[in-house]
Amino acid sequence: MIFMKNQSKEIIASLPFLIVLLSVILSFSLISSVANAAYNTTTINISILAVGRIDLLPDFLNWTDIEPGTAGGLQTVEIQNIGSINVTNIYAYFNTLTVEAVSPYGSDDASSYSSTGVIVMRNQSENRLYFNGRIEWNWTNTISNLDLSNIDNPVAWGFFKNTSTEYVWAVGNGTDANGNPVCNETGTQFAIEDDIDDGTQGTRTPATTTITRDGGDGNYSYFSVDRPTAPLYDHCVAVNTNCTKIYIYKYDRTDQFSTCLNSAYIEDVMTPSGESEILTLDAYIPKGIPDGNMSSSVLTVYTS
Amino acid sequence: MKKLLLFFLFLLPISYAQDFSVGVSPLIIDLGEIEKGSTEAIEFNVITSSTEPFSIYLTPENGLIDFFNKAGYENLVYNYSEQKTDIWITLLDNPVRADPVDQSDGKSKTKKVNLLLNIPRDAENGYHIVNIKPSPEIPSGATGDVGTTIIGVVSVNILFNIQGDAVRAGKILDVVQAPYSKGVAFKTYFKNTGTTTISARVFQDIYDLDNKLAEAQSFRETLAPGETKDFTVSFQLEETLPKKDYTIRTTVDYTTGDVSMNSTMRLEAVYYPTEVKEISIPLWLLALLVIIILIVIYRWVR
Repeated sequence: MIFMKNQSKEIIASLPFLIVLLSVILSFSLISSVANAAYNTTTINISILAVGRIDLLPDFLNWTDIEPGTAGGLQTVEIQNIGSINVTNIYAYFNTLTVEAVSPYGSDDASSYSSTGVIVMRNQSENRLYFNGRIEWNWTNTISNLDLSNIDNPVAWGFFKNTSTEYVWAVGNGTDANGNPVCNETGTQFAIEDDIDDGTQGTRTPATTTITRDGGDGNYSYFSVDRPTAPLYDHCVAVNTNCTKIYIYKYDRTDQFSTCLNSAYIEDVMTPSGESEILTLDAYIPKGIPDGNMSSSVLTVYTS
Repeated sequence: MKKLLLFFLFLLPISYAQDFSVGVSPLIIDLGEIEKGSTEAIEFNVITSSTEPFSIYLTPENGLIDFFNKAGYENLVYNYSEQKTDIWITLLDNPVRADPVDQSDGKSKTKKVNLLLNIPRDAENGYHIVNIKPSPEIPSGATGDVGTTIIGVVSVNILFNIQGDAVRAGKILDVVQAPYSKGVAFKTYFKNTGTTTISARVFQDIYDLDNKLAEAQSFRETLAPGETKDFTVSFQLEETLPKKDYTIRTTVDYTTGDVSMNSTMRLEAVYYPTEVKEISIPLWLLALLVIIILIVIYRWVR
């Protein structure tokens, strides 16, 4: 009994200490929970998909009621990288070869001509405009005062028409492995006159000087024109295998068209951070083209 | 009537504004190292935003050495093989049908494309690239009456490495004069001494002692390992070369390196004028000359 009384007294005496101890523990746990609430972090992961994509603004261009022998006026197209990674090696291709599959010469229908055949363009770093898909067809009639002495085996000739001015060109054929005359083999020559055609022999003597055949394939010989005085200076000219047409371009690097050393990219690298490239285009309408709507066509800007 | 006309005028630009551009994801499919004789299943997405369905034709193309302009890939070019790779692709979905976007949310559409890459047993060691180029087929009538529709297309690059030594190297075996009626020409015999296919081009200069007289180049040719090709470079000279010894400096460039050779040759080239201009003397000038000559003769006789 006495033992029980002593025990109760000890418990009562230690009560204040227990209460203080409990209060301290409770306070620490509260402080700890408040601290936790203030410094807890949530990890947010956002990953961006690797997308290669470009946008072209506007996505349609037209020129209307242009007088033959004049230019339609400058227009611009903006290429934007709207993907998430750098795109490289940007080039452009007009589908003139598909739309204008046969010679339109002699036709009184403007739709026999591809609209992209008259469009010239340049990128931001260039000052001059380049044809990028113009076809000039073999002139099947005789051209008076034509002097073809600079070409070994002349087989085709015609006029390169640049709005109000014209220049005579000519092609000499090469020989294939079987000895047949073709224009996509070694020995094929392309020549163009520097002077504006006025009908005299002096302006109808196309020259091959500094026009290099850079290669060929089953369809074309690819030439780079490096004579500064030539009207197609810095352009590429592809002569088709049967010598009936020449295809003039600059920024077309599809398939083997990049064989020509003058073919160029519009831009080498474009980042996705709002970088863009401006293309400037114009329509050069030559003389002697029938009135009406030319066949609509497509400009495809490629990148990889 | 006015309302009807306005309605059609409003429709016109919309029909032109169809977006047939094609994006891809991912842009580069890096397969790492793969073995000869193996087949790899590959997939990627094409991304479109057209409000009309259209077909996308896919074309495998040989990779271009320009791929290595991309940041982070520059050093791989030294082990790059220019072997034809487009024939190693089997397309399982071609053409791909692009679904129209839902105009209510305007969100782009993605379509999965599957293909197989079949590596032949005789594939060369080193890095290879195949491009898969999408070509959208624009529905007739969607391009408008006159003008040009403009679209943007992105190609997929498939990069892989076939393990083993991949060496790009070459050697000039000989340079000889070749027949050419309008100047001088040389044949350069070049051998691919490496283990990968390379493409090469010959650059040539004609020197009279230290004076460079002319320069020209060949076109680019592809050479398989161990193959020798002759490259012809022709010079249309601006003037006749006197008969004497000249130095021909030949450089063969194969993008990741070049080799050079100097040769001394006795040359004589015929000069052909590239353009003969008409010389036209006005009639009045001729008449004046005749009168002057007659006066001089008359005075001399007197």
